[in-house]
Amino acid sequence: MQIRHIFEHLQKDLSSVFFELHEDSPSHGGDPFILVPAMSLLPVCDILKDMQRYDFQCLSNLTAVDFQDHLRLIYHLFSYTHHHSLTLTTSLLPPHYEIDSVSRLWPIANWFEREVFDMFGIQFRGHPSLKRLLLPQHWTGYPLRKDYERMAR
Amino acid sequence: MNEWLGEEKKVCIGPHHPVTRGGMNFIASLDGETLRQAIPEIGYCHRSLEKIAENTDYQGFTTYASQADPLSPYSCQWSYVMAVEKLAEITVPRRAEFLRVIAMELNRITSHLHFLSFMAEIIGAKILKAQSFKRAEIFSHYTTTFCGNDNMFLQIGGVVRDLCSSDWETTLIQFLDHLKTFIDEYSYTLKNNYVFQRQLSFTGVISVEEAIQYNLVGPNLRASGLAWDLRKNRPYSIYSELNLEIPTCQRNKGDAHDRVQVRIDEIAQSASLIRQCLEKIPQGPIQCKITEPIKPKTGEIYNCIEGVRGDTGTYLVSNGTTQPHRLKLRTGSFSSLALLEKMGREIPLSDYLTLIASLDISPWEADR
Amino acid sequence: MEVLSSFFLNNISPMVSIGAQLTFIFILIFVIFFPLITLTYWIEQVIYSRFSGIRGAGHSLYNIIFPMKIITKLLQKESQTDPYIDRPLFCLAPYVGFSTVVLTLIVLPFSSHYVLSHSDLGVLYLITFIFLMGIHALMAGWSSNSKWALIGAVRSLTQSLCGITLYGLVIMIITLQTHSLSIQDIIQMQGPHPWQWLLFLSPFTLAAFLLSLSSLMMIIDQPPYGTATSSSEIHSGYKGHYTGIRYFVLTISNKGAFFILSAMTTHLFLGGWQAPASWLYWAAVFSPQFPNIIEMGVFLFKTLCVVWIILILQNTLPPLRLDHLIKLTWKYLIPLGLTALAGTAIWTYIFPDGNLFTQYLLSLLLVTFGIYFFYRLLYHTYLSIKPRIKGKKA
Repeated sequence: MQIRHIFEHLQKDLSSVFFELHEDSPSHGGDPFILVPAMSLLPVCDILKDMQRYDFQCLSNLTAVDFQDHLRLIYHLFSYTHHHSLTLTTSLLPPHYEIDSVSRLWPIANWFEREVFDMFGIQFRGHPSLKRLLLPQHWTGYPLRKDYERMAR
Repeated sequence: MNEWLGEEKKVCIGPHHPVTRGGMNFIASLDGETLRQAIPEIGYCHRSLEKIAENTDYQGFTTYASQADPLSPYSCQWSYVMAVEKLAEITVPRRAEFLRVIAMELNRITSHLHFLSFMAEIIGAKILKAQSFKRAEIFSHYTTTFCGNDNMFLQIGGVVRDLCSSDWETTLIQFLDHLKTFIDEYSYTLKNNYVFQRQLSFTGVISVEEAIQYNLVGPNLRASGLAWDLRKNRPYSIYSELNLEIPTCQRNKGDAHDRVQVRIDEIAQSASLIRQCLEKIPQGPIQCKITEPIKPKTGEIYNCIEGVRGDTGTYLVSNGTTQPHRLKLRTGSFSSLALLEKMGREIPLSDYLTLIASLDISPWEADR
Repeated sequence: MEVLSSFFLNNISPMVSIGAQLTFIFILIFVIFFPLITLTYWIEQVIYSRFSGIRGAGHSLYNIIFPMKIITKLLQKESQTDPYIDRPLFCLAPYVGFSTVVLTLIVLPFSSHYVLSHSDLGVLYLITFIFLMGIHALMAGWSSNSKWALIGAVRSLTQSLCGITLYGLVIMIITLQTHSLSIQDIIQMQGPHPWQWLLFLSPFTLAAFLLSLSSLMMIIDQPPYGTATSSSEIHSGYKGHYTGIRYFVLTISNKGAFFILSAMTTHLFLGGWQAPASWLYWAAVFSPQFPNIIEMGVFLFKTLCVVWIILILQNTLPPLRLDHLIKLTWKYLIPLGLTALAGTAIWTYIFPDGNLFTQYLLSLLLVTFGIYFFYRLLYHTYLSIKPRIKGKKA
């Protein structure tokens, strides 16, 4: 299924949620993606995982990007049955970087979310053990944010 | 000493345990010889490559990308280079694509031979270890003569160096013939030796569902029984022109034995790919003209290639300047380690070590 | 030479002076023990380097001094003791292991006259010290105050217990056959020719021989039956915290135990120092000491053959895991030993003087097997996996 079809189906299945589809334009390259509000991320993921039409059994990547005025979370989903993939994004506005954890749906999200917490300081609600993963536990600050003070320069 | 006399002992498997290859730690609760729980701890090899990427330009990061994993430098490097090329709309010359495939497959063979020797060491078969390591050394020699220093071969828009000489090609093909007999013997030992069977069969069984949930990729996923290979299912570069079969194990048990067997089959597969490439390689330039510094347009891209340890993904966000806005490397070892947290419950210590070894985890790649 | 032979020829009386006792200990360790260790070590290196295809220490005859190099190196290193260990026990453990090995040399005959003590209970004395060979591992592992070392020590003890139980069974089978506990008696009951050895006396003694090889490999912790000190799994087990000369002493006690157990196997099954009477007759023409030297040569040759066979097994097979080893020993090998014991009892009742036909048949079978084994060995070392590479070196 193409991302456009997924987008249309999602709009029918979850009519209460406001989806946005970003596609290629002359000024903006790269993969198309679907933007959902942070509040409704978990229900959308629920449907994407469980409905036979989408069947995204695999979360291949989860990461975040700091755009100075907001943080953006990116979920790369993949389905081995339908061989289609989807890029799902959501924006988090300061100062409360908080979102529902999806580790209940995809166990691998446990570690991905720990890494994002480690690097960006996003709190995941309902995560089994939200500790730092790569950095030592006593580390202060979140290194991959743009406002992180760089020591070694 | 009295605290040792309790039921469970806390021991650390690592960071300087042979099975960790020098950069992970497993905090284990041992009850006699049984492991009650083992929690992986990573971060010992963290070099913050993703932060470095935000402070270098696109061409400059290629060398860093290869350092993500010293055992398979081209997995991350190719993934990164291809992502930049897609975003900046650079087309690579055909000859360069062939050379990239040759380098990648040579690297795959070297890394898998290292894995075979590592696996034999963990089981305790020291002669098999020495014999595999010898072959891996010879293969590293071939790779170095071809690619020079490991971390400089791939570049945005092409490769650095052309094939050396026809002499190199003939010796390489001779050695590939020799390697065939060697891996035949290895897999014969694996199939027929009683001790190997006892140690590897039904050790660390991972079902397909579990493998998909935990996002296991590459040889580990194929050993669990899912025939998924990006080179075949979503061909990139010139892989669509080559004759390629996905090596999966016939047993489909998803145990340590299958994971070794799949890698042995992949060595044969890579050898055949190298032969095909050497036959079909066209003449032409190896590097296209690019305008320095590279400035891709605004946008984000997620690009995956089939690396040595499964699909290696690069997520790249560009804001139209000469430096990446955000770069994320997604590697196979990371998800294997996440799975190990779940697998380390109520399992004999030796079995757990065999399981860790059979997943072919490279800590450098997991920590980045 | 005269002093040495007088030591060999006479029993040590308890009333000798302190100086003589010190000389005796010196001779025991430096004249008898070290050359044997050197030989064993060298053969091990040769076989390992040939099998793994690397240029190791065993590549040339010159490397027979390899163990001496290791001694010189380890003597220069610091014998480190960590602050948290149980120091007296930690320092004592290697020497306890060493003395259990060296003391067995007292009853070990090298020829009909070269033996330090003609004891009537030689076998009993020897097996007592073999039983003690697991003790130093526990001492070392416990005093190291490290969990890995403790796990290694417990593993080591478990494994030697398996081996020792088996060895006890083997000794019982032999004594049942020979009605004697003196090693010299056991040897003299056998003859110089293969069909006169205890090995081929009956199918049950043949089984006992195989059991003794297995138990030997368990006691000395060598690969087909040993993971107690595997470096890839539990950080070398109880040896993990030792450095310098103490580590060296631990290593050579292991090698010494290897040699002594092989020598015991030779004495019990392969006719010990027995050489054909015609050789001894001609040798006696030159000097009265010559027959003894011939006998010692025969004995050393047989022992080194046993060492060689065990090293080949060790280098070809991966080790069994500990739980598999315990299961194998207690479920299969010990019942097999008990069956062999009962079988020997019946056999001695039916054929009190042995059955010559069985002896010929079994020795013929062994020769056939030996020829096939050599063929496979040659095939695998020279014909099959020899790399055919003509690349330039970088």
